[in-house]
Amino acid sequence: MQEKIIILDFGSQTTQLIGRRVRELDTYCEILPYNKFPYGDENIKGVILSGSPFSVYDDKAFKTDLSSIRGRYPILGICYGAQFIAYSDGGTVEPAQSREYGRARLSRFCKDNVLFENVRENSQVWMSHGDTITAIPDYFKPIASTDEVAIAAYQIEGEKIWGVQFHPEVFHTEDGMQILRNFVVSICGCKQDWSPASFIETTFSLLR
Amino acid sequence: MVLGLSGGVDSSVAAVLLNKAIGKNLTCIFVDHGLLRKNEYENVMRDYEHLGLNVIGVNASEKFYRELAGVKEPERKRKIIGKGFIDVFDEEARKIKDVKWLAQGTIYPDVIESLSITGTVIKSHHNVGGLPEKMNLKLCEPLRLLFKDEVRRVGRKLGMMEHIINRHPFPGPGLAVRILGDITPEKVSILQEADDIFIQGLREWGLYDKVWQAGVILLPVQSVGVMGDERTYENAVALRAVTSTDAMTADWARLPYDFLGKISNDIINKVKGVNRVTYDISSKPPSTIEWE
Repeated sequence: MQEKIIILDFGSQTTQLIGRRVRELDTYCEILPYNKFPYGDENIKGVILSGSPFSVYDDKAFKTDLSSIRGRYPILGICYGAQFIAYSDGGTVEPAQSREYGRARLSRFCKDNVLFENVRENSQVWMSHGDTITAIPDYFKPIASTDEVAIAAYQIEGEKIWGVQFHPEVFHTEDGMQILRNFVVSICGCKQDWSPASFIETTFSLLR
Repeated sequence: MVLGLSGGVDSSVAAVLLNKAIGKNLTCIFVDHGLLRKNEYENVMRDYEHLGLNVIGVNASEKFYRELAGVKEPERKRKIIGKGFIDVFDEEARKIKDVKWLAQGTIYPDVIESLSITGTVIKSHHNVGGLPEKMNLKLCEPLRLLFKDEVRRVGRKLGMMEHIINRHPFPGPGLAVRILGDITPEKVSILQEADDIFIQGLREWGLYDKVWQAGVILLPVQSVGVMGDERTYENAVALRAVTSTDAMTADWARLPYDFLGKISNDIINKVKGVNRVTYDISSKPPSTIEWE
């Protein structure tokens, strides 16, 4: 069966871009509304939580119960996705002193963290957020920072859960594809077997 | 199974894929609403036959010209063409025996349920709205899981010609949305000639594949000119060419001045009824790619 990554959409402008990037890694993925996780699908290899136009403190913010996903699949939270996981575990998310839109550099990061394998020092990342994570529980390990943002990325110790404040899916994040590849291939173990040829073959048998 | 072909990449790839899978059980219908590019109908039909597709071509230009006569409002033009297309397609499809399936070239971005800001989940529209219900057919959308660049990769893998794969996007209502104001066969013919000079020029200068989408807009504006010893009072056109990676945002293409000069000259000299050529230098946002 076709293995896949599930992208839960919390309403970001760039959710579709995450999907395209994963496909560029020759890996099949599906973009689904944040509250429609396909429980029971045995082909899921990992889950990505998208960004969102909302703050986690908004009354209307999209929230979902991750308890039956956590521990079963590796998770990567992007922007709001990262804030939502931190907030759900008792971390603090606050309006940033200076809202950060645009270029920043990963001035410090854990080179030995699998998410950052082959990421270059001072690599440019693209930020687009009004809120920022200011405190995380002690079992969250900060793994990257920029000059403006102390917790630009974290991993939950003992769990396969990562969060990044920046957007690896956009072109301006120089090593964004590398970071997504690390998640999809090294962490989730996807075999990268989704290709035009495999699509044509599967479609043929379905059609017939 | 029936499938509506538009000449575009998505429906063409869907047709070739289905044709390889179910062969003669697939009949394609290509409706000419009279608002295609110059010679587009003949060229596309030739391509489709070359690809081995079983295609019925329907020339319905007169019906569309008749129904569009005097209509100026863009949204009404689009509605008339949408409804007219469904009527013609339905009529043709009914002539085919035992049709159970309707195939469409819907792609993933059309299918993804998008979240509106209020949290309500909206299902986006089908490619050809209302057809399956009207015809009481089951729907087959073989490309519904693919992004545009993946559709192109699949097309290449299926051995389709590069000029089909790399064809610029073209609006469904065709030249109707590039003739501002009401539509007449004469205006269509003027626009087709000007558009053809622009598009062929882009190809000859090696610029076609560097541009996401291009075309000419016939403006509802007349201006004074001098041609020979005579004063003229004729139409103005705008050239439009944009660069983009996904159509969500677009920038006006920085085409070489020499190229623009040549095209302007050719259009004014060769297309009767046009005496002024302008170039649209707006980006999306805040403007849009098309004018209507």
